[in-house]
Amino acid sequence: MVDHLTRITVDLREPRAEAIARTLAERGFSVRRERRRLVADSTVVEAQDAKRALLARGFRDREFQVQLEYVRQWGVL
Amino acid sequence: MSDQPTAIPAALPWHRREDTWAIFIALGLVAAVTTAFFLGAARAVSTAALTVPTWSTVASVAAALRVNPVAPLALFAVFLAAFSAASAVIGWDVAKYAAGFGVLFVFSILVTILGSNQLLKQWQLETPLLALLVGMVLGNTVALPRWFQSALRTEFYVKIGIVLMGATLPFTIILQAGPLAVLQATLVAVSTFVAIYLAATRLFGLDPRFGATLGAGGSICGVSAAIAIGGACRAEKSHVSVAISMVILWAVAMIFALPVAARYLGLPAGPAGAWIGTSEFADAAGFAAAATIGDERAVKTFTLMKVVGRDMFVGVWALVVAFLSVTVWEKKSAAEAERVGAGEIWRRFPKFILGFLVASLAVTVVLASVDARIGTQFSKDAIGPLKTLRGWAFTWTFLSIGFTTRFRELTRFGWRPLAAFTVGVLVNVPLGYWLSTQVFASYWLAVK
Repeated sequence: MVDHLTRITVDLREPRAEAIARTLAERGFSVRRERRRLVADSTVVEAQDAKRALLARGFRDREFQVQLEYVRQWGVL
Repeated sequence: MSDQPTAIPAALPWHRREDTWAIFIALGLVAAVTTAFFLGAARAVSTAALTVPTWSTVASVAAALRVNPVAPLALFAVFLAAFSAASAVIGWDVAKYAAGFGVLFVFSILVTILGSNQLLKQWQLETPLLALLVGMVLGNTVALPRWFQSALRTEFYVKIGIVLMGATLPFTIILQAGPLAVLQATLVAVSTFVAIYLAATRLFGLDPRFGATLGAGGSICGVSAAIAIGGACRAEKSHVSVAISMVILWAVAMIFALPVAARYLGLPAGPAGAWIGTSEFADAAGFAAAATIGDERAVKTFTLMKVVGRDMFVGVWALVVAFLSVTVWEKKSAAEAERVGAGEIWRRFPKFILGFLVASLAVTVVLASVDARIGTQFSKDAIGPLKTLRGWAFTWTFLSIGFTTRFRELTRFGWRPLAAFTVGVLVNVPLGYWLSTQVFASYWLAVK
């Protein structure tokens, strides 16, 4: 009924920003660099799975921000 | 309908979003109608504002339609042009959409003519319910072609209708009744959310994120809230889908149940609309229920309750739930938890509400800046046609709800989410009734 976009952003001032980006890229995220942050998007990986994977690799909650956006598929009231 | 995933608004530029185009189209109509009025071209506007009078014989309705034979074509041409432009920029297939809208338009003419029949009106089968029923019967029994399905965009039409609703609702009423609507909505929303959340998590052992998503769907603004809150608290996709199923099942049931109950209980239009605004679960479904009351005041009080009282605050709910999600539910202190920014409020805010407020403010300013005689004329020659155009947008909404509600697809859930959601319904409906008809009745009766 819904499609989703999991977006993880990392402040470029974070010392391990590039390492987080590499981890997310390995999991199929498309990663791009904006002026002050890295933005990793996936329409496949669910937000909680991505967060669990980052924590399992030793990253801390405050090193990144997860945004999850759902959108109705066609025809949903 | 499509094999391609739906475009995610956050990944789209502002000019390709559905909300943006709903605002453009509706405010464009308001601007065009207002300009035409002051240029002395009000007749040109009324050409496209097709109305069907109540009729009892075929000869009488045929005669009424012959008075302005160009009206259906003008109405179709105006919206086809607007929707085609929107489709082209948003990225929908323009040709398929235009073909589908043509068929939807024909259905809307037919149900409007039928719904204006005196006998059917006596049976309470007016246009909104007829549109729903026709859509549901055909949508659940006939395989609809894809090009037709591409025009069934419930959310798009209801947003246009809501922005046009703003033009017919003076800003002074929003300012006067708004705080009360917010108070009533907050009382009911908080009670219902807590009831569903506690039932889901404590009674039925569901995940807290799932409970919050169900609670949001049942208390804030239906499917939109389930999506916004499900996203904010990172609920699983399958949980969001179940919450949406719950909302749709109950919303469709309430389209029929609430107006029948309001009539049976002899409720005046104002409190009836406020009750529907408090206790119906989705905007589009609520407009269908409020329109079924058959009195403009019910639609106004419904809008105040639903749009001003409930929809506006989904962003605030999202922020609170997002914070709970990364702290309480992940068992972390605020200092070590992931950061949640206040930007969440704006990100989840339904942007079409801005169009609704701008339309209301613009028309109120126009009315305040002309003398009483011109104001009366403006209400008749400009606001009148806008109400008619709003009615057509809602008829396409109701048809789209009917055509796209596939009951077979709504049965994939367990009994526990259904039971939790039902607990919320048992809180929401009586509480909404009591507040609308007893506690705040005088306010809702005063809305004209």
